[in-house]
Amino acid sequence: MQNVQPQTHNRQNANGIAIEDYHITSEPFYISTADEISLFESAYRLKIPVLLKGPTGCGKTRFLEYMAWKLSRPLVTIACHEDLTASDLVGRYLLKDNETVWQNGPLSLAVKHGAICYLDEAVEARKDTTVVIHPLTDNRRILPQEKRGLLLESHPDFLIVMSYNPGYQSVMKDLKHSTRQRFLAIDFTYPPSDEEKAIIVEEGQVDEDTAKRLVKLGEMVRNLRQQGLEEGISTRLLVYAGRLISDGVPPRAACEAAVTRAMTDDLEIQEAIAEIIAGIF
Amino acid sequence: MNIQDFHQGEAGDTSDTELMFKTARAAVAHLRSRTSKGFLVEVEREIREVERSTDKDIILAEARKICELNWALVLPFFNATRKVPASEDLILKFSNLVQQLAGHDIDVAVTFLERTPNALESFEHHQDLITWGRQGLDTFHKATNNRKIWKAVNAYFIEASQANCGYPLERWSFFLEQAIRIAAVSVDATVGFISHGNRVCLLLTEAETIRWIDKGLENSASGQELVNYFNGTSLKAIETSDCLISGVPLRSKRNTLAIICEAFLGYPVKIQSNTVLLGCKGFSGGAATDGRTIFLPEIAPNFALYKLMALHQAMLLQRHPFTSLDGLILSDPAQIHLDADERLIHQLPGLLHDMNEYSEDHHIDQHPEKLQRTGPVPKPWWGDILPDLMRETDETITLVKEKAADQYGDIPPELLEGLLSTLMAGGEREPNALWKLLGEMLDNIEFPSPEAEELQESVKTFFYKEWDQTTGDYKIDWCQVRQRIAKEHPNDFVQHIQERLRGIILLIRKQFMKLKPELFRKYRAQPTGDSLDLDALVQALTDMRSGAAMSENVYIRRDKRIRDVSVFFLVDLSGSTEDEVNGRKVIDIQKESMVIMAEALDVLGDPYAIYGFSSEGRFRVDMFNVKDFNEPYDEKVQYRLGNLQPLGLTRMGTVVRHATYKLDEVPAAIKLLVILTDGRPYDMEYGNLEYAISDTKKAIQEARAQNIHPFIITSDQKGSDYLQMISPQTECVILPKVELLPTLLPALYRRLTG
Repeated sequence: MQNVQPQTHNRQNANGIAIEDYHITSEPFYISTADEISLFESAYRLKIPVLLKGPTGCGKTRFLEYMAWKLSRPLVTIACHEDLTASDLVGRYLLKDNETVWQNGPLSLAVKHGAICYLDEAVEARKDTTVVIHPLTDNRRILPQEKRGLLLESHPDFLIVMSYNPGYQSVMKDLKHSTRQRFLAIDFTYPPSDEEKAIIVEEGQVDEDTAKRLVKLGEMVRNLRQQGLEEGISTRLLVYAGRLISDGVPPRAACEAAVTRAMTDDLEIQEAIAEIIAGIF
Repeated sequence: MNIQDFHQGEAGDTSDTELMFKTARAAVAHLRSRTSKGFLVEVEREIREVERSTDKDIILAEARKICELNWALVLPFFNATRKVPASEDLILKFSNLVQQLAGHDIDVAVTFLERTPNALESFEHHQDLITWGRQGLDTFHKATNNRKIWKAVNAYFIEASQANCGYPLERWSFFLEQAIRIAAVSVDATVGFISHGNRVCLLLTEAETIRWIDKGLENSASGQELVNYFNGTSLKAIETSDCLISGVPLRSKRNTLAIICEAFLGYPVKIQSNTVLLGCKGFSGGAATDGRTIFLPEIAPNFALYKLMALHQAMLLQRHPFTSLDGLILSDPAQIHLDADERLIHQLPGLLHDMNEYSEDHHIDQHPEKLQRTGPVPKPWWGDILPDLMRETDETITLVKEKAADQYGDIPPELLEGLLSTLMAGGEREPNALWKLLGEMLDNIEFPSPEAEELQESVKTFFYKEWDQTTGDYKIDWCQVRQRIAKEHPNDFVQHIQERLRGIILLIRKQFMKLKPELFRKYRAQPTGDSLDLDALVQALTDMRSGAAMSENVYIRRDKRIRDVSVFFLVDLSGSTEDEVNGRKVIDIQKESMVIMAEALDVLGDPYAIYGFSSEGRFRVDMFNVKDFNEPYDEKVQYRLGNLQPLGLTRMGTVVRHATYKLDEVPAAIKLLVILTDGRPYDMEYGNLEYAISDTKKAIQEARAQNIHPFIITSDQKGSDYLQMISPQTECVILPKVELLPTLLPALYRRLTG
């Protein structure tokens, strides 16, 4: 089966691809479920920042890769975490060849080169870091680089996108409204069964019957919301199970690893899921 | 009035009647006149009754004999014989039994007589009446010591005559034999066994029951343990029974089966034992459903069969009313079952293997369309289809719901459905009784728990749910927590400890100081960082200009190292903490540990709270605030700590839920809940041990779901049994010696959070 990873043919020097040059050159596999593609295209044209909302593993990042390909823009991804500082985003002075040199952070690069800047799991970053993007999200579309005393005006093609999982945020770690309300939001959720089956066939590299059974497994595990599995099982885990199966792992063992043990540590629920798997395969 | 003048009799009285009067009078001659008068009035009434019956000669003659044995037997005898069917043989045999029983013990004979009307209603054949009595009598003959066995025989007469005792009489004979063995060791245990404990052996064969009894007699260390074991209330009793069962008991797999069915159906469904269906039309002991709840037998040979049974019933639930794949309405039960199996395989093809293995005769074809459809042998997992029951359930629920819509309009209909399904699954099917029960639940009527008290304004109250493992559901707003402040009057407890243990406290403070990170550390001369470290830079450039190698570590990195731990201490204030261990009370040891802990945390800076807990039924669960998160560790807190006293009981589940609620408000990355206790969860109206444990377990699970890490430290040496059931092994500590607690607690804390 074909290699389904997005392909890039970029300039590579010895140290890797320049962040701002990361283009996706072959079409990523993505199945649309609603009007999200056209909505995103509008947002892009109007330069309105986009917030992708949804549980883990349901296609947000894949969707963005697809759009980056469709719009032929480079994609700059920043994985947000607790220790992310403003300097990590904007840039800092480094010592290079006996001189102090300013090095642009990924955000500055995206702004300069007109890339799509993707803040993945934006909520994980501290709030004093996230506010750095505020000047970019209104009419001004400028990025101050205070340490340099400069203002960067954004390239006309620059777009900022954030992803966000509303499921399990606590009061402390939630998106402030002063940030949220600068974005338009697109909701993502697990695909309906036919689409999910097609995705598992393609990404998991398994036949239709196996994919159908995996979809059934996903459906049954998602019914266990009240048992403490509120997050529900992600399509990604089902794809992993599929890949294991196509690599030769027996189906029950594949699901045990990719689903049962990944989803829960509670013995009774594990036992129940194991029995469900035994009922499907 | 002189007794001799009483009852001179009437004209036309037979000699029998006169004789009876005479005997009666003689029997009570020794009693006070008022008592004897009352008695004789009753006797006269009875005699006039009897005179109308055909067997009056026999009855009067026997009554006289019995009266001569003891006057207390007479009235019950008359009452009993009224119900005994008219058959000379029967009454004679009956009276014979009574007399022989009276020869061993009068109280037992009286009970026998008093229970006879019930027994007659419960037994199918009249002869059973005699068997019932005979077995009791035989027990007296077999036992060597009447004094030890009479209570048990008494209890036997009561239990065996109940309509729903669930056992055939022969089983009771076996139980009585065993009772004699137990009575040799403990009379109370025997009574417990006959009254309640035998239910633990419900699923055991006779041989297994004997082994269960053996183990109980061997392994009980004290008289109280014996009683608890044979009462069926001790954990050991249940565990031993579980080990002996050949096959899988429902209670051990019920939760798992419920989860599987929930995953399959998409909504939660309750699973109950099918013994409540005894007597339902069409019920033959297998799996069944009433349209809402799934009923399964109490024991099955293995888990796979249970799974098939549960899923089959779930499919029936889904398909009701029953139509086949072609859309026709099915009415033949076999067809319905086959159809359900077909659909099951369609959705869960993996079940085919199990179905093939457990089908006795033919194997199910791989292709569902080719299933044989002519009169197959029923499969072991099919169970019974009870259309009448399902219809009745539907109608009753609709009826009661309509009624409830008027009176309890604000209750959402789904909740009503759920409540009604549960009540009906518990065995109550009659609409009026249901209505009454529903009303009681919704109006929150008091039960054996002491009533909720009038409280001062300063006491805040909270309501929490409780998990009921018999129904597999929560009881909403079942318990009331009263959050109080511990007494504050000054005392020198803490001061005393601080002086006495000054050495240890100093040591621990030093240890905890090392755990404390500095808040914002600036690391100079780093290989990476946010800004340039000018000093290092100048040094580096100078080095370069002078020919030496230039360092690359010229940055400043600011690391925000935060220690983000909060901990909530729950201190058990149950009455048992009054007990002494090596000369010191458990409560004092616990308090001492809290003092040391407070000193340690004072240094470390982790926000913490200390609450004592004690309860007295579900409306009086007290949480005593010693220190809240934002309170400083000052004199007030120290006085409160010193004033903690042993109080009531331990309703652990509710207490954990309140702690969870309080911890939820705290914005820490790591939240710990440390519970110091000295025994098992126990309270009024907190069910038996199983119930208390499963509620506590549920509460702990809820805490973990809120990202709280619970940790139990107990001094109860026998704690490992129930602690294992409450939470997995890594989260409990059983102190080998409770005196170790003060030194152990800080060490544990360091290990947990370091």
